[in-house]
Amino acid sequence: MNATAHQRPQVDLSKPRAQRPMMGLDIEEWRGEHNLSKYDAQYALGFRNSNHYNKMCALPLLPEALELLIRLYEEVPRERGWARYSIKELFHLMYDPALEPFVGTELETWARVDLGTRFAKIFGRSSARQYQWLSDDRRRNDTDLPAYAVIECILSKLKQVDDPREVLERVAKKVWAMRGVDLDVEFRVPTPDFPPTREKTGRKPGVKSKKAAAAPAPARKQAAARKA
Amino acid sequence: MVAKQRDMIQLSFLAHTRDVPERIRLRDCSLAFAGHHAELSTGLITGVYGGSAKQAALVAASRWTQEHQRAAGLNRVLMVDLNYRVDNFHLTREQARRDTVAETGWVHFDRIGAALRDELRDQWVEWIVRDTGARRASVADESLVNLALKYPDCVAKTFQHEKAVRCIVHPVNPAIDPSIVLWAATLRYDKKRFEDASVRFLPHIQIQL
Repeated sequence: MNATAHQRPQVDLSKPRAQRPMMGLDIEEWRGEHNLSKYDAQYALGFRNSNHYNKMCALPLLPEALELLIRLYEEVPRERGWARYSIKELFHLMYDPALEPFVGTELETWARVDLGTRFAKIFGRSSARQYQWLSDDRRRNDTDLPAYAVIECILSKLKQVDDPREVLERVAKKVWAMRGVDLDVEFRVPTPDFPPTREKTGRKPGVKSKKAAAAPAPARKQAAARKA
Repeated sequence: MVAKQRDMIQLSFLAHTRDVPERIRLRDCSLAFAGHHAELSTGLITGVYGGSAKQAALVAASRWTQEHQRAAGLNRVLMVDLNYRVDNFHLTREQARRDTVAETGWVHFDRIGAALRDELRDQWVEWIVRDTGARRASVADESLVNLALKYPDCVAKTFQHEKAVRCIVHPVNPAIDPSIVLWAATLRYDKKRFEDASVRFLPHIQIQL
């Protein structure tokens, strides 16, 4: 058994599951509540095998994407289907209306990046992931995400709801709120009233560096003296 | 989860707890079932036996936890898994007979030879007529598994009567959900035979044998 298996739960198990982040044990309880065999639960959650299942059940805190998927199953308690959105399709479905006011303006790129960051964060991924997921580079296969079975499951689960944007946003906000992150504050959707902004990083032009300039290297000094 | 070891059977117990405790006494985790009297079961412990019974137990446990999650007292059921060593394990794959029981101590009511089954049933009918006042005619034609369900105290009496028996696998209506039937294994409590006891997916909880 790996080291993580013996970690104590990081969540307050005295609270009902709806009021706290999920831990590995919750997967087993969820399986029991829905009377799923282990094999069915593995399929539903995109686990590779029973070893993967056991490993995830031993986690003291579930990855956000997995918790998102389980909470989606609680919203729509039926088996996921074969049809699914592509990740790019879902992004456009969710955020094209928000992006529309910025199209053709100088803020379009920033708005697109902010929305991409929010979108990646919903799945518990870093901001950098959006460039892989949402790139227009045709050489990339934008429908297959072989390494992210759990995200594939979320994408197919969302095919079963009428308003995927509302459902995904609502469930993701709940998942992140229980981890102390307010998606609407930290990864807000840009609007014309609150357009995306950027702070310039690094040294401001005209301001001298506080650090003293480095002394010239001795070898260079000697070479200069020789030349002289 | 506990992996099954050679020459052992896997059992699960249900621990009713308040939240997640530091330690659990295995003796407190004996499966309660309908018609069971604790005073007859001193020195015995009952666990869930078999894949489908464990699945049914998990479902019942999850439901119980959901219903009691806001309760003031016990509010959670945790599954405790362990391996139980059986002597001459390979003989348990055969139908139980007097000679296999002497070597293994193992009786599974769904894998029992006709001679031993009839012998046990006759003995049980005697006990039931004597202790409950039931009419002989009403129980004489019942199968052994039906008698085990209706008169589970006979299992405990069998342990008192048959010294060679160490484990009986029998059907029960568990107290956690009396509407279902589970296969349970009642054992003589012998901690030398218990191995790898742990709470499922909460390995930091200590199990006191």
